[in-house]
Amino acid sequence: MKPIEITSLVKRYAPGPAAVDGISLLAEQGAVTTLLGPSGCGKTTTLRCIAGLETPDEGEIRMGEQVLFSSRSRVNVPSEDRNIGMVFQNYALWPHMSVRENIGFGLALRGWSRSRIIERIRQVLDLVRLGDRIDAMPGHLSGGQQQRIALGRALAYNPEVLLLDEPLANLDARLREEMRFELRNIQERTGVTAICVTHDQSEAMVLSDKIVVMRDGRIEQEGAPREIYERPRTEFTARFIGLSNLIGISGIEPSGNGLRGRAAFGEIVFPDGTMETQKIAKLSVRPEDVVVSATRPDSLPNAFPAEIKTLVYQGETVAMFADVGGQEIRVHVGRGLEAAEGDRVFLAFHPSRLVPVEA
Amino acid sequence: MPQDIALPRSSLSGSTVLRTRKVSADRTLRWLLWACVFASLGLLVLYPLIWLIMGSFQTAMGEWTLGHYEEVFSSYYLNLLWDSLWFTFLATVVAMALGVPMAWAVARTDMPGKSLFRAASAVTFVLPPLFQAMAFVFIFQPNAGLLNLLFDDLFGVKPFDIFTFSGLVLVTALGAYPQSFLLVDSALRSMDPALEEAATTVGASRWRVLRSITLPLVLPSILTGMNLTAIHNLVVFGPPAVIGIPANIYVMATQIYVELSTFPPRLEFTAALSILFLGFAAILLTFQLFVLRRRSFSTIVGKGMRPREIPLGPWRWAAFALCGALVFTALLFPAAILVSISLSKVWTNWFQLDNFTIAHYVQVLFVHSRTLDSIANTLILALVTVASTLSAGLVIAYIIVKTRHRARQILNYLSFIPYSIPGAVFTVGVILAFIRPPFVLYGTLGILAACYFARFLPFAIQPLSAALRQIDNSLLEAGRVAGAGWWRTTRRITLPLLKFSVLSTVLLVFVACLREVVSAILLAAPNTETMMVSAFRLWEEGAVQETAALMVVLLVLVLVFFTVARSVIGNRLYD
Repeated sequence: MKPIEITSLVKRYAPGPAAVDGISLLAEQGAVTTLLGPSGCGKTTTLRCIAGLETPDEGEIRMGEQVLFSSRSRVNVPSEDRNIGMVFQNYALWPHMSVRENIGFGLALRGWSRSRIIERIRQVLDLVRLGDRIDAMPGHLSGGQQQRIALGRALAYNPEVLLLDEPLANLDARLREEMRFELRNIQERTGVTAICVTHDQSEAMVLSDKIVVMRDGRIEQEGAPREIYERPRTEFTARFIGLSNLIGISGIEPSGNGLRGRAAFGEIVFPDGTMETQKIAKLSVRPEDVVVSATRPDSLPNAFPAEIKTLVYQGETVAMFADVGGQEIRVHVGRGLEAAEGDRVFLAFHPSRLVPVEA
Repeated sequence: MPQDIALPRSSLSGSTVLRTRKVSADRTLRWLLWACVFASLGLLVLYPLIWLIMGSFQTAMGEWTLGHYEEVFSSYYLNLLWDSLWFTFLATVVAMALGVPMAWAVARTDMPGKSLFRAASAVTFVLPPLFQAMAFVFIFQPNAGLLNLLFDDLFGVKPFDIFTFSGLVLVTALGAYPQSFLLVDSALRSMDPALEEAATTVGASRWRVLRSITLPLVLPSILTGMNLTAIHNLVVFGPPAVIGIPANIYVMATQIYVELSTFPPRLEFTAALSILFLGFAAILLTFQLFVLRRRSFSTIVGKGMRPREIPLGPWRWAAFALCGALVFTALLFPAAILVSISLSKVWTNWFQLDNFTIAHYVQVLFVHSRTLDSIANTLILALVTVASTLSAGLVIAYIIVKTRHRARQILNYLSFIPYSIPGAVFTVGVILAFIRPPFVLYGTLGILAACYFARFLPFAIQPLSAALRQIDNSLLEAGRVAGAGWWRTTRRITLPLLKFSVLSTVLLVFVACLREVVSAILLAAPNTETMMVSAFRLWEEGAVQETAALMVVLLVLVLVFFTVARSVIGNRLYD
């Protein structure tokens, strides 16, 4: 199990903007690092560069001490010599081989003895909980089963790194939710270094130790899931990860031990973060962090009168769309709320829940 | 009555009176279409087949006999059968050895010139094999062959002789290689590249990926290609006619031609011979339908990512040279030879400016009544065949795909019978059927039209039913719910959606009519020759330059229509 370190990686397909535009990142040993972003952000290309399926134009990729690719010293280890395991989006199980042959292929290539191979196949199938399908052909397996066989095939020969390309995208919603935890569980048990690519932020939350948000071939922000969700640094991250209300703000000045600025609906105070004051464009606040009350809450700053426009029951919570001085704010409130559309209420933003973001 | 899309009556709008009238008019129309389709298939497909079988048990005087079969199983014809199979086998092996490696190089490596090789192979696929055969005879015939004359000038020897078994096999293989090439190339291209990448990531070398993943996955396509090549070689007429006959090598197709060219033609005996021939074609075809079809893996998944090309390094130029040599020998060289001969005053002199003339084209296109007639005949025949196969094809495809009528499978099988029978064999049935009352068509263009209809109908049904299958039933149901009757739905929704498929079908059937040899030769009377027949007769009479000029005209026509068809298929808007 080794870490993967990428330095200034560039990959161009055609003249014009690079698909991957000089990214550097560290995928720590034994952890799950997730590349998250909209389609076309370069996450899959980055993963394929690590796998050796694409040849980067510039930069360096290292696995532990070993250089896998370096444009400067002209090293490019072929994919088959990198000792990685990869799960493809469509699983890519070989349709002409049984489950046993699919998993055993990589072991046979490494010169394992027959008895060791069969023992290992059984271990792997136990790990992915498909011990009874050893002789099945891939075409006869369900999507979820194929997914687990693909995972088993990639893990069978104890690769240094496990690469997952949108591993859950082809499953239906319910199975996808289950498999997130299963995948996490299997990774923890094997302790393999994993790099995962996804466009599904809730998948990234569950799976990852570290999330790398990508946009247009660059890294927008990286950090633990909690940090990314609670402390987005840019408007893009705030919008892309979860739901966010973005409040435009101007005229920022110091106020006590925090900052103060003007929003469309009034003056608002918020904490001073690490960001330079001039860069702050908006304040991000999550729908579940907005406090609703029928009367003006005297104990809270940043309370503003609002009118409830729409209430939508969504199961666990109720989504409320309220008008605050011309701006629409989305609030998630508990099901116990007793209010009706058209009611006048107060919305309060606790300063600690207001996150200043760049444009 | 046909029960097409079953809709509750209440969902049709409009007043009761109006609706009843519309529905009954629709019923009459549909009934008429059905009757026409069944009558024409009965007359043009079943009736010739019945006569083929009956005729094989009759003497020329109409008495019942088993004598033809006794003769068919005599040693001469059994030897002929053996020769046919041996020839088919060898030509198939050579064609596969040419086509499959080239498919791999084109689909999977970084060899230059791939689109050129693809296009050239597609063109070779559609040109009649007669064309290469003629060109190779011009070059390699023992006395007057151009290369023999060149060698005679230089070294005083004439080393080449095309009129041998190996010459026949090689020329046939050159015309047949695109069958496997096109199939394997498209299988390789449609294969999900992730399957090969997955093997790379688990540690397989390129060679190992090729051996353990790629090859097993395209093996069904290779086998199918081999089988199609074998069927092609078994029934091919051009090379066995112009190379085999002078070399005294006969195969089934040419033997049928010879039996019918003697006087008096031995029609009934030929029917028995044809049935033996049919038996062997049927074996290959059954293999195709029941063994190979089940063995394919559905590998077409994924997001259409372009497979990585295997870098061949300096070998890419070697691969380019080999593929280039094949394309040159199979297409460019023979075409160039035909063109240059058609423009020569003295054909045995190599092309020189003082040897240049367009007199042969003038002769063929404006003067010689025989070739003029043949051009007119060909165009009339092609237009009639296009019109008849297209209209019948639309109705049949509609019935097969969009209705649940009990008889639709019968219709399906019936219309595909001629597809599974060697052209020469079916044509013998057509002669037997239409040489006698009540339908005497022999000696007219009508018998050619009848034969072409039955033989090319599957060419129309296939693309049309595929296109119809793409049209979701809900589109038609929406039309009916909106209040349109069956005929209006068909006219306003179905047919416009089929526009491009119809166009490409028209072009493909047209091309098939232009390039048809064997049926035309067996059916043509002196005044009903097609261009192919005229070219063949001129060839037999030794009018070398006229033959070449007429062939060039024909090839240009085929190429123009084929190119247009391909660009139409390539730009389908609705599929």
